[in-house]
Amino acid sequence: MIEKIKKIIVLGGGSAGWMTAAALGKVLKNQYCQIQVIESEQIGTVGVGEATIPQIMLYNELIGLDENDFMRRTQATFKLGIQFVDWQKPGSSYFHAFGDVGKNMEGLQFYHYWLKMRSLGKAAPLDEYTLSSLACLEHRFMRSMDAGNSPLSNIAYAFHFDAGLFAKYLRELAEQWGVQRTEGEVVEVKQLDNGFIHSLRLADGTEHEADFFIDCSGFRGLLIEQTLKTGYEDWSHWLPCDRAIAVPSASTFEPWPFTRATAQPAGWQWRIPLQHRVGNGHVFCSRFMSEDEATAILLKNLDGEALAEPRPIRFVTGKRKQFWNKNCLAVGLAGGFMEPLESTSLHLVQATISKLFSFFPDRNFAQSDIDEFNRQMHFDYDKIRDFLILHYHVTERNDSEFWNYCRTMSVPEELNQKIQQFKANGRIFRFNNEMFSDLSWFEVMLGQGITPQAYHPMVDLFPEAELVKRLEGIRSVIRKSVDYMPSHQSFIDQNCKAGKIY
Amino acid sequence: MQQPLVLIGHGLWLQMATAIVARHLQPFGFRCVAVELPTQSKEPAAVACGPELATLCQMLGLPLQLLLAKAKGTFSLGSHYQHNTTSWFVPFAHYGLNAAAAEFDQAILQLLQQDQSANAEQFCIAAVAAQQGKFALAPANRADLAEALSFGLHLSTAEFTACLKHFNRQLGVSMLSSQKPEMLYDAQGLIRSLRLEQGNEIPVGYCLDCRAEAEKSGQTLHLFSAQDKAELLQQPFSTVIQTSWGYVVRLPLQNGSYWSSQYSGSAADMARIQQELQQKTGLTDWQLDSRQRQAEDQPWRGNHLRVGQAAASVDCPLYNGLTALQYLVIRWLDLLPNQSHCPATALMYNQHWLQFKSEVQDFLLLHQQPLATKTGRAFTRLGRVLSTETDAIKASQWFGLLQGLGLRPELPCRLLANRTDSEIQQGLRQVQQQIARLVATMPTQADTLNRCLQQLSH
Repeated sequence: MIEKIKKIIVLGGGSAGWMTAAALGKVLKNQYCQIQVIESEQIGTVGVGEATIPQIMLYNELIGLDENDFMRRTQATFKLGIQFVDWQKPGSSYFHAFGDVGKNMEGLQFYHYWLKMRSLGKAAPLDEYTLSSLACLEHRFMRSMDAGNSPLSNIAYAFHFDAGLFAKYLRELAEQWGVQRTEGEVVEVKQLDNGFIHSLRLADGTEHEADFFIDCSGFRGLLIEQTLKTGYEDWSHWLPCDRAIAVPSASTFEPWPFTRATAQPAGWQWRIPLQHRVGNGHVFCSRFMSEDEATAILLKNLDGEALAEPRPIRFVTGKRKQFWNKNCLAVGLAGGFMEPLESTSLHLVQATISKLFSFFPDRNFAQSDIDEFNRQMHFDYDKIRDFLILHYHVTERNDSEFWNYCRTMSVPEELNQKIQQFKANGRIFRFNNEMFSDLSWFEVMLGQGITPQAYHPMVDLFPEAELVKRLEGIRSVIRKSVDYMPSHQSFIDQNCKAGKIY
Repeated sequence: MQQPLVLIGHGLWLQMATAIVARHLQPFGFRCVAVELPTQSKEPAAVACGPELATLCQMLGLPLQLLLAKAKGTFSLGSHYQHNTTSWFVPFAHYGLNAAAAEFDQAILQLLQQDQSANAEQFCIAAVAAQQGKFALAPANRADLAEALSFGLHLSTAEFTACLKHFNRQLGVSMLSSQKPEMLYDAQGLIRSLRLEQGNEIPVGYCLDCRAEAEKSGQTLHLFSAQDKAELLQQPFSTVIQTSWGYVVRLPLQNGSYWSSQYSGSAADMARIQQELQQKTGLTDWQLDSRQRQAEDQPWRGNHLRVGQAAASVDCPLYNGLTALQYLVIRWLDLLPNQSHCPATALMYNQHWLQFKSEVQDFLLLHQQPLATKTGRAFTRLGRVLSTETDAIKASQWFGLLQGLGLRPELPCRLLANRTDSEIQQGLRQVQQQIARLVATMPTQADTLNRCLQQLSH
């Protein structure tokens, strides 16, 4: 017998809260059950999740976003990848670009051919075979067009946006779809005898009951942790950064279609170009650097004038032992945090929402469904974690205590196997549902400085002269395709230019 | 790798593994040697291959038409299940017209909940075509149709094996035979060479061991098999009939059908089983063959790959171990180390095999005790097929089996909540009509088969 959920409360109104509320509002239309967001303007949001990955399109489709309108309203720019500067060693740089690398031949990934030709000194840099990387370097952008086999038919992209404006935009949509917003700070969480959450009492004395609670209260996890004591798996031995300083700065030139992540002595610095400003931040490990020092490094490296006071953020990398516990689901930072290096924070919010719809409960809250939901979430988190650790661990940097620690730390066994395998044979082994593709693994492992000792033996099927010709052909197609693309700025101007704020 | 790749085993599995390995590696100068060994258990007279065979044949450069002609092949769009009171179809291909259509399966489930007389098959091109005895190869410019009519083949094992053996000889594979070869190891525990009876010693780079039999005694399985002469060209599918101990499966060939059923219980039950088989199929001449099976969780150890034993651990009439063997060999080729042995690679390979095996076992267990599996329980609650990490079983097969077994979700799909029932029904009706129109223009399997065989003779 189904006992329909009558009311859902989403606690917290940052990106995670409003992404969840908007999706629930759009799908359930407030007809299936009541949806209420409780947020307090007194409690700030972290609001630095400003970069995304192409999977964000799935969320946008789910809620039916008009992309150009969304871009204008959130001061967004397009993103074709991430540039990692100084990660392998000071002076190094590589792109982790979205989309294809080269063109596969005879069922084999392009990179095997490229590895062979590079070892013979007959290949150009990888970026010249990768549409997104080359477009990043030349600050160009366009959406896919119908162009047959051309790489222009398949351009993978994501967005950079102002997280505060994004939450505001989603709030408007959610409210149009019937989501109710309540301003207030939770002062008491009431539980039933079985530990399930019954209601939230706010500072104004009102009490709000619901059947299902979605905790988007951020790092503190007011419901999932402070109330339900779910527990947290600490990963700071693998992902040691535990602080960030964020500051917006004035744009001094046209926005780039990529995020830049620059390694620093005890962490790294992000640079996210938006239409109205640049988002900057310095993620660092407090064991190796003071907040003052980190702030000074950040401010010294801004392109333009700082537009606000630097804002410190504290975190512990890791994940909840259960994302869904009893009648409470943790979404976003309340569920876990792995730092913004690969822009996975909002992706994990979206993945949680998507799974919520697949596992949408009734008031019986079947434990088997919850267990499977948690298993899938743990899989997602663990695979992303390994990919992030890779960036820190595989490095030649020995110029600071922090990098010495990262380079020599022990890593999860599965990651170790992946690295060993790539080193020995140039192969990447992954499960079907891992978020990062073998191309992502390839770009980062190569970019971090691993040179495989071998390539796939089938590559030798092609005579060397034939391979030279084919690689040159691919390079030339990529070159012509990028030449066809307009500049990132002119594409924005023509399609989704936002109004001035600053 | 300077040393040859040595494949040992017998029959179809040896020839298939040899064909894949030799086709891939001989062009690069790798030498392949296949050593045929005697076998204790008889191979089934026919095999059901899934859609991966078409891809594989393309890879090998082996025309499907040739297999159809030589191995008395027929097409298979999936399996038709018959339980006491119900029957249903488990297709290889997806339901609906578009493989990527979001929540289409959920719409079907919603309809099945509301209308007890409805069935899921009407929304699947493959199932509708199968019911009408139709089959067509999609034109080259219709990738969507090719996907919606994803097919496998039923083939006579002996002729299929002969075909592959001929193919292997043409590739230049050295074919040897031995009654009892001896493996010689080096100090690191790697196989250094294989010594045959006449004192011949073959150096070994890698040994792909395709023997299905366990070296140690394991579980005893009894395979009942029978053949009939009835031509079933109007049935482009396998038939799976429920019995009191499991299932009996019929694979139609061009000149008759092959039946098989597996039993793992006490030998004292054999007479009763024979009787029931006779009752269900009308056939009296059932052969019994027993085999030993043992789980192989680490098929890759050193330079020895026990792919046969691993594949045999999932082989049964409901799941062709050849599919697992192909997976194991192709996966290995994909990872083939060059000069160096990389333990991490073998470890990951074995982990993936365990995952593949557990997905097959889950699928098989579903047939007997759907609610004893996590997949069955999740489907009963939510109508969702749990995500799988390998391609062992296709999503449409999971869905087809689960819904066919009568499992219905307790909870409705929330992503369809913003569509009214009549909108959903109208959408489904449109798909159904389009499918009916498409299938009406399709040729029968017999016509398609004839055309394929004629193409070959020209």
